[in-house]
Amino acid sequence: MMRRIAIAACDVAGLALPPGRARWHAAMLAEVSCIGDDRDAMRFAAGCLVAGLRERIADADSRFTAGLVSLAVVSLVAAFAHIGLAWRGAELLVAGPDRFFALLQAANPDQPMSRAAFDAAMPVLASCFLGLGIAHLCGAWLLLRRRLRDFAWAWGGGLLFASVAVAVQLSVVWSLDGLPSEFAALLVQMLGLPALLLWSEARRTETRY
Amino acid sequence: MTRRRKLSSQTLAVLEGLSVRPAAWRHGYDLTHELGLKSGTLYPLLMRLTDEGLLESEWQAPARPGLPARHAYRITPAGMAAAVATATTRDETHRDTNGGGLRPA
Repeated sequence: MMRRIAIAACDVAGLALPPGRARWHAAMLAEVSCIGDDRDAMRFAAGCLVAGLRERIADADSRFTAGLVSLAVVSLVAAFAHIGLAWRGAELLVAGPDRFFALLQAANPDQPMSRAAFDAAMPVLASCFLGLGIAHLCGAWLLLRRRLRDFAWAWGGGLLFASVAVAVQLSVVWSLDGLPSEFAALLVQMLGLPALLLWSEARRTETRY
Repeated sequence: MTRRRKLSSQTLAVLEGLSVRPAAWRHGYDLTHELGLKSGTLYPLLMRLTDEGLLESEWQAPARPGLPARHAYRITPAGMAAAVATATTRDETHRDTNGGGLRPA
């Protein structure tokens, strides 16, 4: 039984190893098979599992992927938030409940808001939120596919939609406090992706011991 | 360009352990006993040292029928040179730290 667990642990170590190290799984498994004592084999296999995990964590490509996934998650959260806002706007356009005006007013309690200006801006604002949401969705997909050049286009599209959305809101409420939320995810990506690329390049030029 | 960091004490222990009998092939399990390292520490070192050409590895036919082929390791001339260079630097640093010369009374 203990031997089987040891071999299973070694197999998990093989799965944990990054692709470039996969051949070491066979070396570990052969050692475990040659160890006479089951407890020793179990101890050795547990160490192999640790080695596999350490290699995965130390692997620059795995870390780079984890960084891209984190940025994609930021993009997805922003996408759903903005598509949600666009949905509220669409509800309003088809004579649904007016939750959008209240939302904008709640976000800017000290600003006088003109209802007429809001009604005029609403279709453009809802379209911008939809566009921004779709740009973020595309961005997340492109990040996960590692298509970074195409992601830059999606990011640029998102920036355009966010700028128009903010400009339209400014025409209604005149001033906004702090960084508009439309730019938050774009800012994280603007700082995060170059930092990730620089780190990845620096890792490529050094050997760890 | 590849930049090589200073060898860690564990890396040096592996190189020094293998340089005792440089022609001999060793197995991972035996090395854990000889060097007092756990397999979780030893294998990442073996992987990197092999990548750098400081160790060489080969698959060896099983000693007994029914057992799998085993992966064996031995130090390369480059590994010997790296071990000697690091050990020399370490000894010099140690000597300097402990005050190698006579001091005035």
